[in-house]
Amino acid sequence: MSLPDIFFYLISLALLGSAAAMMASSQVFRQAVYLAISLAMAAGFYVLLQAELLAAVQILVYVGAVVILIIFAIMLTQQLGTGGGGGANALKAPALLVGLALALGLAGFGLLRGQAQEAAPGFAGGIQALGRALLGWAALPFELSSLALLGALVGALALARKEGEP
Amino acid sequence: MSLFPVGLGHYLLVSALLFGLGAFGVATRRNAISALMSTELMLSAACINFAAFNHFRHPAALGGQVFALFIIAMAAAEASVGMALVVALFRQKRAVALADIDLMKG
Repeated sequence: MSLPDIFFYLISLALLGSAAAMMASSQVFRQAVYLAISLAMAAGFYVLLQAELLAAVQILVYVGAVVILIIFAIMLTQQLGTGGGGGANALKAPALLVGLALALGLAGFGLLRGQAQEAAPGFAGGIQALGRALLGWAALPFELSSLALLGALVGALALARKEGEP
Repeated sequence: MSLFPVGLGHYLLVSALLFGLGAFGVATRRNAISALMSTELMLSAACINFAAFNHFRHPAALGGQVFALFIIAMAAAEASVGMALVVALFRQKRAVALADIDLMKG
């Protein structure tokens, strides 16, 4: 029982708790806040897994950008404070079954296959090695992802502009 | 599987539960924005899996972390296009409820 293990349980409790609260809440804005909390907790996981750059990117991109984007979309599309609009449809019971089956199936598979021949965790080489990997063997997908981001940018602009505007 | 020390299985269990919660959200939310938020939860669960496998199985190789970075980049692109779609639909139909979006219904 070490400090990182205790942190793992604390973080997973907060992560799953906020995700469950997100599913239980029927107000869209509250769901966005719970989403921000759970994504920040996932960044804590990355720190525990010695993926510090991933944690920083998670905070910057997800909590910083995506959640802000979502909050902007919420503000543009509904009246804040009036509540409602984010509730569940009539499929709650079958969806709960499907979600549970998915989770248990994935967890069972992971537990069956995950315990065997565990490699000794070592130091990955940190951010320097990751940077070399990104511009080394992963350079092509890295550049392609920038193209995809450009496409998404142009596509989002084209979709969201008003009709008739140039 | 014991509580301590925390291994690969623990991370896989948590991320599987997170994925299940996200799938539940995608299936049940009435609001398009809420459904998109649940997708982000599922993508995040996949990212945790990649990082965990990287850490516990191949700590010297960085494939898992690189793939998780690409997932985050694509999730950001998906979120921006999705939100633009939601805003455009709201302009056209004054609705963000998924049940009201039936433009392609014959």
